Amino acid sequence: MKFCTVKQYFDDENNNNVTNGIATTVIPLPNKHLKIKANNKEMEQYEQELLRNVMPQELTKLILAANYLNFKEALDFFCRTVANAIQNKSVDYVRKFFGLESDFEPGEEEKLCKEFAWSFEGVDED
Amino acid sequence: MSDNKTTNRIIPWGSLPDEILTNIFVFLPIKSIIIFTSVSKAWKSLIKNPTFISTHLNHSLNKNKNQNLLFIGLRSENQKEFYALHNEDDADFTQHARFDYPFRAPPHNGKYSVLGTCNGLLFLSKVFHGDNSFCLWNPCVGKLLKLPSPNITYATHGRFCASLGFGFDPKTKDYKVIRVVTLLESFDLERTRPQVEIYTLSTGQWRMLRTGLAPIGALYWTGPQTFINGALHWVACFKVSDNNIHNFVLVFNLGEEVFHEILLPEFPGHMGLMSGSISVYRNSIALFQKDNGFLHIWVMKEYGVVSSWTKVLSLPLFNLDFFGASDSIRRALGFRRNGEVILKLDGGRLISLDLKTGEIKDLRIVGHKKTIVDYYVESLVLLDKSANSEDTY
Repeated sequence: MKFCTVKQYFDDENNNNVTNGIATTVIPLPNKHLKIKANNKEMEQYEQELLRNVMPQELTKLILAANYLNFKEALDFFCRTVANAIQNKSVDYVRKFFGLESDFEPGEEEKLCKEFAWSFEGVDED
Repeated sequence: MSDNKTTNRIIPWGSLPDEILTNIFVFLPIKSIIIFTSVSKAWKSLIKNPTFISTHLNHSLNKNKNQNLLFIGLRSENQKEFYALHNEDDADFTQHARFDYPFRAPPHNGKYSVLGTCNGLLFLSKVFHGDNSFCLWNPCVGKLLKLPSPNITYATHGRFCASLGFGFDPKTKDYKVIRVVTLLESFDLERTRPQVEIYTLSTGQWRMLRTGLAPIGALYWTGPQTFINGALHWVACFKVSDNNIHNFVLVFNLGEEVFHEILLPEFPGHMGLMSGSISVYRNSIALFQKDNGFLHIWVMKEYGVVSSWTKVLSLPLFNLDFFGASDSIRRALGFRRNGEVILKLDGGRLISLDLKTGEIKDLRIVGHKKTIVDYYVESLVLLDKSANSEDTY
């Protein structure tokens, strides 16, 4: 089932996300997964490697590719990688990571911070 | 996101479809999810949304990460209530989080007790001057909702005795609080039928149950609640004749809003007034029964099948040698997910006991007279309720 979708993926020229880089990272994933599945430590290492070698933008493409391929394990893996990268970080850090800007009215953001003031304690230093 | 530029174009994360953002967020700790509502308007509206809250809850309930939490209601040395979440799967039963009693006011008008949990919500109840007040509280998101006054009060109906329960109805995806009230003025054990009223979170109101009436009889219940398989359970009794009191488990199905009975196992004295309570045991129920210096534990191996009641343990209550001194059991509090029973000893020490091997584990927690334990899962339920002075604290 997975192989049919892969072929379709390459044939679909309207898909702007197709690059060779993605193909070489996403396709070998099933094999790597089967090897690593039992060993959590190796998974962590692979995750670290991924984060170091792959820019956030590339990670987006990987996620979108895995999503398009309907490859649940890879999608969960990449999403979990992103989650681990941003967990316990500050709002500003997350904005920078994702390339987002605040679109709140001046008072709104303050109100939110006040509502959940206790959540902001213990957040990692940027 | 779809002009035909070069593949080196930076794709802004903000344009990731909501399902993918959701898939990232469900892996985050609750604290981070809450903080990230401040990242942007789009993130705020995605997170503070019943759909996401429900997806996140299902993810929490299904993931088999080592995050099985047990909720324990405790009291500090200066008599202040607090609540702790402990990791059940952790060898040291470490504390995952701790929450203080949510009200600042001094307890001159009574103190709330936690009667049970469901999907991350705590159900609090207090009795003051004969009347009940209730709250639903999610300590993980800091939202507390005070329920309106119920229909049956001391002013309207005189003295009463109420048994309570709280749970989730997957059919309507709604939370319900049930109040089974026995009116004490002109009470007759052979004739009086309890009145039932139901609060639903979606309507924010109480209504009387007009169909599927409760059977005649009385409930004896002092909490905490037993909610499993979509139903609430209480021990009840019905007077068959002068010397014959029939005890049973009264079951209320939250979705269908109907009562039925589950017979208790037969044991000496089961046809009289008994001293017992029921508890959730894995996917079924268990009965704790004290009798003649012994604690008997029965489990219903197949939920609903009366012939599957099995006595799994009879423990003497006194002169036990758990820790080299003479220990006594005060009461059984409930079960861990692995099937071990949690006991409170004289002095408050909590231990868990493996029913098969007899092995004891010191949980290194000191409980108090009203300590309860319950399975807990972190959730964002109530996050989408707007904040006002009543809701947050």
